[in-house]
Amino acid sequence: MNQYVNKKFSNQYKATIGADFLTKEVMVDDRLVTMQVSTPFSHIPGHTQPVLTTSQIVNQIWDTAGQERFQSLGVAFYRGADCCVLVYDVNNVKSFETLDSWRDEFLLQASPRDPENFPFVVLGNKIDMEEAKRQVSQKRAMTWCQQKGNIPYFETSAKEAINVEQAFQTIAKNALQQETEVEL
Amino acid sequence: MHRHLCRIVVGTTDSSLLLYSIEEEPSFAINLVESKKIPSKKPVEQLCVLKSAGAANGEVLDSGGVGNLCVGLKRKLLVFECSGKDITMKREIAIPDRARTLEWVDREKLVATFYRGYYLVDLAEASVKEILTLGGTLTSALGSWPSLKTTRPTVACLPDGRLMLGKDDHSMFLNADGSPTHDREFQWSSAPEFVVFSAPYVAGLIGSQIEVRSLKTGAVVQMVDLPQIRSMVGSPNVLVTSPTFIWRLLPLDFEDQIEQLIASNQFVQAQRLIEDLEFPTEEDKTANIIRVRGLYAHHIFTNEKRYAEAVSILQELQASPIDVINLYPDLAIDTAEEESTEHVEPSDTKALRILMDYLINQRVVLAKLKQQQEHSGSYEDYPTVADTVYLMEIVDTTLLKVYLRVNKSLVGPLVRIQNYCNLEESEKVLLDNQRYLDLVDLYRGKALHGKALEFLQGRSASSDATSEFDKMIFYMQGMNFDEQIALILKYADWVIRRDAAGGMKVFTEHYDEVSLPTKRKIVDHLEALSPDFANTYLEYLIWEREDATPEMHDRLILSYLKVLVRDMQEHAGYAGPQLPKRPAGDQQTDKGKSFWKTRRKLASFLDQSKIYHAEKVLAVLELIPPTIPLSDLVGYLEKTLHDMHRNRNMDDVVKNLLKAEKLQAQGRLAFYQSRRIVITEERMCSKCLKRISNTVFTVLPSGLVMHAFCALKK
Repeated sequence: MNQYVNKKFSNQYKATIGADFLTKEVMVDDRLVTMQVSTPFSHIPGHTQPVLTTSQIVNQIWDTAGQERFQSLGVAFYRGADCCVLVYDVNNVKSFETLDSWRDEFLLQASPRDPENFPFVVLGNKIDMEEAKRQVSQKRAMTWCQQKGNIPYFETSAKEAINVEQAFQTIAKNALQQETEVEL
Repeated sequence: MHRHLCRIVVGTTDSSLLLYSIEEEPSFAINLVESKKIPSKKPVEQLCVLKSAGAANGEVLDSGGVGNLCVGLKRKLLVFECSGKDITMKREIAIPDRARTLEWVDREKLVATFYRGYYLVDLAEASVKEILTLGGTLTSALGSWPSLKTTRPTVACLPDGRLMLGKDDHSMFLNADGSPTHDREFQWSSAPEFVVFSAPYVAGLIGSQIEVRSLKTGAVVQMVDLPQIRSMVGSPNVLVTSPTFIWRLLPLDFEDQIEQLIASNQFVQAQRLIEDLEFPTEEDKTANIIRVRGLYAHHIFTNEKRYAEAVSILQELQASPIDVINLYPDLAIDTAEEESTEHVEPSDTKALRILMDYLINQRVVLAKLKQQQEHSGSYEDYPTVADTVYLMEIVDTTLLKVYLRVNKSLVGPLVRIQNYCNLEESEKVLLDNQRYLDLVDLYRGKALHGKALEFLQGRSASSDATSEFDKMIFYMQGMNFDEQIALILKYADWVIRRDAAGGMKVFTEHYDEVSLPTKRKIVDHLEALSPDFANTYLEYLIWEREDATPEMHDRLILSYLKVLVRDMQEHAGYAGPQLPKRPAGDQQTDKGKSFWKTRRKLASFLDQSKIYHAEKVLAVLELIPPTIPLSDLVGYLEKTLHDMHRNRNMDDVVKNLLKAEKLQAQGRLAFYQSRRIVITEERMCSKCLKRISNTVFTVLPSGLVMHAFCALKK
């Protein structure tokens, strides 16, 4: 999250308690969107961090860190989300394998009207590590994304700012689209 | 008239007191016990009995207990002490006006009312103090008030010590000492002439009607009409008099009252009544309130369609999810055995959406509860983990049914994540709704892989199948190969026979690590089907998964050979199996193509792989039919022969080296054995310089001779 908003990767994850708001402006189709990022729960470095974006007035990105905490946040937290970003670590096959349940759990909690077409974005993060450490191939990840209804997939490195801008452009765009559809 | 427990005292116009006894049991009876003449010529206008201090049984006038009687006569109050059958006058207090009403507050105090206001009379101090002015404040505010003169002042003592004093069409609350309270005024429909308290109600006599209101809320509970009623007294039952009758008003049993209110859907009133009533314990009261609130929730849900409100009331009451679900007749949990055959209306979608949100919340609540229970580790706690799991099952199964009605796309996520859906029920509703793939996911979640695959196979073969076959392949890919290999192989045959390319993906798009014994089983099984399948799998293992076990490399070579042999046999001519023609353009048959393609693969693999066992592979040469010229296998044989030569030459070299080493050792032995020494009488030990003679000796390599003993000694 830090990288996206400040273009500066921090190796030191900040353990946050309570909401930690940062904002970032993105141009989407000539429209300036303010994304608001919040990391309301303490980070566990090295864990998968599925990210949820909501865009009501400003784009709000909720960064949920822990694992079982996800469920316990409750319905109210997810209602009205416009896009859900799932992040896994390409060097950690377990983090990839849990994407399925993150996605399902999110859908249940958010209960969108049209779950099959709800915008998700998948980010395969930490591609800056050496190739030998990689455990999830691009092919495998893309097959999964395809099976789940052509979810856009990006391989990113938060540390080296690879693909981060593009990924968040897509997130903002999908979120806006979803919002428009709901309004219609 | 005044009433004290089981006695009624009636003052008559000819200065007599009539004492009646009341018998409640076995049947209500009222009898004149005695009449007493008071020493006065004036009519009795007011009277009041004070409970005797020593007469717990209430036998005031004739039991030996002591009671006080106060009689108002013109401008004085006469207080009598009643002891046994004797009544003696104790005190006479002058009052400023004719008393309109008298009411005991306690043993020493009473409230007397005059036209101008309420007065607190203290018998001990013989003082009379005005506590509430009638008319005074009102007159100044509103001018003259004609009804003031005609309205009878009312006094009711409440059990908490407060006084309730009537002032026109409302009543004010005062403390027992006459000081004002901050309670709000109590409003009547019109000015009452008598006010009595009968817990938890207050009854006011207005005209010839009795208005019963709740003390707490002031709401009208009942109106009672009786002819010509003049006065009313309270406690414990309300008695009402007319010139010729005395009526007793009996309150209905409170439980009946509550039930009546509930039956007429007056839940809010029922709740107020419960709140007003005394219960043996606070828990009883709470339980009753919960019950009424619950019924209220049911009522507004069913009859007023206020779904969200109803569910949130039940949630506030911490109702069991079963209670909430039972709001929905079509989803109700059958706890009773009775089979309901009547048609149940399907619930409103709006209502179902509210249930959906509720149930998702409950999943979270129950999951946390279960975690806590497991964490505490005590099995004696109530509710137990098993109770929680039972609720989780009900919540998840109901959620599944709700999704099927409201948003079918959410069924998938529910059955895929960890859930407690009841298997039989979920199976049935998913089948009814043709959610076949969701049913399979449910089976997977419950590790019922055999059931899932059998179902998928059946569905794939049916005429209305859609994507079940792809799902089956995908399902098998995702299984744990090491644990489930027998099951996978059982269904793999069918899948591969139906679609070889697709079916092989079960094995070639599996991403987890697989143990060697499992790989062996897979290769054996696929080879038995066709060596082509074994080839595909082994190629995937070696090239994609970078498998480096020599055994698998051997198996690939052997498998290639099997394909070649098979293809040749299929081209058998009169002289036996022969080579297919080399491909030339597109006319080549598939079999011919396959043969040459496999041959090329084999040759290149033999070149590339460094870890196969050549000798094991060579043993297979026997498989090759004798009619095939060796020249046609030259590429393969060259490689294997070369390996064998290399190994033989290496062995030769080693053998010769060892032979040479042996010869050298033998030479050295012969040399040492060929030396000799002559021991004469003169031969001395070169160390101790004594004769060697017949002793044991040693010859050193340098030729020196010494006693063996000296050689050891050094």
